[in-house]
Amino acid sequence: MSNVAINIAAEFTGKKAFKEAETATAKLTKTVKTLAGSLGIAFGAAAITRYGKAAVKAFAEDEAAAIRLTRAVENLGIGFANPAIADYISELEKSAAVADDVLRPAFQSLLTTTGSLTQSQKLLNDAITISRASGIDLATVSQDLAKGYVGITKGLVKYNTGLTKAEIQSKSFSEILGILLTQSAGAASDYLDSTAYSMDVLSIATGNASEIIGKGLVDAFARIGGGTEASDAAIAIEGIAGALAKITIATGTAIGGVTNVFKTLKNLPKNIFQGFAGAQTGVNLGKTPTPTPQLSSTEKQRNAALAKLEADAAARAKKLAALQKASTKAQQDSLKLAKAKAVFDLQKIQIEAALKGKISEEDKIRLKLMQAIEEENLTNVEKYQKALEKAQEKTKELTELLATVKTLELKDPFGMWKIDPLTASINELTKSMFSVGTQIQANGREWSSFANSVATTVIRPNLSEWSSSFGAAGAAASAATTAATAAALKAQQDALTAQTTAASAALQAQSAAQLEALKARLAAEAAAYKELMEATAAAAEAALITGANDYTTANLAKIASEAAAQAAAAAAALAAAEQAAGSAAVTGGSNVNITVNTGIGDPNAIAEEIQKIIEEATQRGTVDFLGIA
Amino acid sequence: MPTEVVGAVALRKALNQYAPDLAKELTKELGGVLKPIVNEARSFVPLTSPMSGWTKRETSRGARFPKYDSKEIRAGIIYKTTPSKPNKAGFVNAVRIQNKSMIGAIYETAGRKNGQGQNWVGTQAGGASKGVSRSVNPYAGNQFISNLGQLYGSNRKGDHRMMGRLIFRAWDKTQGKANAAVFKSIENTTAKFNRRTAIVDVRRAA
Repeated sequence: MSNVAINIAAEFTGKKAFKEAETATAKLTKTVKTLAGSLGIAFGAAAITRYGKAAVKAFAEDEAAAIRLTRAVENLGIGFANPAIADYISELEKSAAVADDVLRPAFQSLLTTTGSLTQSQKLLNDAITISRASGIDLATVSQDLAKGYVGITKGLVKYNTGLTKAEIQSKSFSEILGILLTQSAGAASDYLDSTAYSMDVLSIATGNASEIIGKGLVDAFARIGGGTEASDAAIAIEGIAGALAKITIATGTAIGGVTNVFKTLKNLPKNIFQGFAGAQTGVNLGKTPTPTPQLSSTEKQRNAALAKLEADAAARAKKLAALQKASTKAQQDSLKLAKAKAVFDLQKIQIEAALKGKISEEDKIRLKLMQAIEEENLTNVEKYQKALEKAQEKTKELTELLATVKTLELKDPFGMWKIDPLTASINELTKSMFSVGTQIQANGREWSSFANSVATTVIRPNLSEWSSSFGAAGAAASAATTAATAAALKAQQDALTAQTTAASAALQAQSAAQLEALKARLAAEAAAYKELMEATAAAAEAALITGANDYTTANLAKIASEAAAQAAAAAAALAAAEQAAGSAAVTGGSNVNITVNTGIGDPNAIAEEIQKIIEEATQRGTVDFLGIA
Repeated sequence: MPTEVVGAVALRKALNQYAPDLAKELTKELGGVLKPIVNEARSFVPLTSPMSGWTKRETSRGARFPKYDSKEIRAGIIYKTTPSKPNKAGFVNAVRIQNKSMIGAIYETAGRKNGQGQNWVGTQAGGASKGVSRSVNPYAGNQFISNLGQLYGSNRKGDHRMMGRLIFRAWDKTQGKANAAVFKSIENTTAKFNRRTAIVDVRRAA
């Protein structure tokens, strides 16, 4: 359900925080009560059974975790350190208010990774501090630190160190850890002053009590069940609970008695149930003394083993650091190489050169994209890819639009117009005028080209000849001759110009005359057309009024005569056809009579004669004609 | 923003216990003021989806974005005159108009915080931040908000909490008259109740 509302009238009824505090206190009280009176008067047989099972389970899980840690320590060759580790975990549980079932796996993961007791303890303490500061559970933090120790720093990104992914990869684990611890400084001690710490302490105490009770129950009830395993204990618990229930139903007062016993025993040490349950069932459930494992190695040997372990761990750490350093250096070198390569990268050079050329916008985007891909610049790659897609879409749209435009055939919009004869004549006249104008222009051009050719081919060579014939000595004579020649040429040019002008005038006059003639022709044609139109109209009118009947009669007569002629022709054709059909009947449709000349009454002779005829016909090839297959 | 009153919850309890007829009368009077607003707000709900592809969808993490359903939105617009549970700040709301449905809330408030839609980071961006658009369409948020239409209501000092398209629009149209009518009804009923429960000094009366 949403919380969208218009609140018109509201009343303050108290801060929720106070209520939360009250609820927390109530919960705390309940927890304490649960711990204290877990097997008290308030619980029936079913509750006892449930609690017993839960306690047994808690103990079993805790024991399994402890065994795993013990085995891991033994595998490192320092099995003698197990009691010390157990003490350390126990102390840490109390001081940091972190349950031992959380501490053990965390410590185990750190110990197996680092191979060093001191490093593991230090890292576990650091993990608790970081966990308190970041709010991330201790198991995750210790896993991340263990991975970070061997160079897998990916998990450390989530702690908001302010370092980039690349920076985290390039920094050593100790550097990152230093940053993390700087950020988390004081978090663990602050936590110790908080209410949550008190709650956790109580919760841990409850959990431990459950585990302790569970252990007692397992030991006691397993013996009642006839074995030593937790499964035997569970059977026994159910059996006893069932018995208690029966007692409750049967006597009514038994509950008081039994629960009073529980109440009295609730704060007793963990082995209370052994005695109680044993006494009830007549089995001696006193704690069987288990032999304390005797450490085979001497103090000196232990110290030596520990020193060796630490030395090995330090060597490994050194090796890891060196490896990481080498890896970082390799990465840096590779980056440097890539940068150096970029300077001589032909592909990049070509792209850069292409970009400087005159190219279309789309090509420019393509080149920029190629450049970004070469440089492995993701931001630019995305940017130009989008731009290119957009440009391609636009091009596609344009192509589609052009295709649509092409399909529309652009026809002459005036093509369908009908031109009347008068307009057609005018158009023709205009064409003639244009042709006359063109002719005049052509003549003018012809004269001009003629004059130019005369000047180029005749006058200039002559002038050159004159110039070459006369040297500096005869310059004056030459000048005179040149002047005379120039005068002569001028006269010649003037004559030519006059001739051209005259020809042009004549042509213009001719054109004008042609134009006038065309105009007259046009007027005449227009008049003729008008007359024709009038005559046509009159004739049509007359034909409509008077000539229709005559025309019809004449046509009818004509049609009748034509029909008669056709009938005669048809009759003649029919006769000819009949004649043809008759002859065809004589040749193709009659029977063949064959005369057999033989004596009468001799069937053999008749048969032989017929056979002979057939054979002859076969030889001639006319047997089909006889109808014999 | 709601008007803070003192004793509204106690009045409601007292009315129910000692003057049920006055309690009914108050409910009726408040209904007379709020019902038309609710009806008007319902009338602002478009019959068809403002976005053609507004269908139900589910993310890989199980979060749901509901399908547009005008019926559901209209059914979710209601008024209440019974005190609510206290909110985080400790306030109990005595009289309110609600847009309860999830889809109604989306239609009502989309674009309040970011009028142009959330910042687009695309599908490939890392992180788990919810305040950004991870749609394939960079303009998805903008298109969505612009298709839903304008937001109505007061926008004092950048506080968009009184802006919306349905109940806030209808409420804004009343221009404060409905608010005044609600308090007048409460005051009248309080006065009636006080008169009825006034202890008479028997000795003095005698």
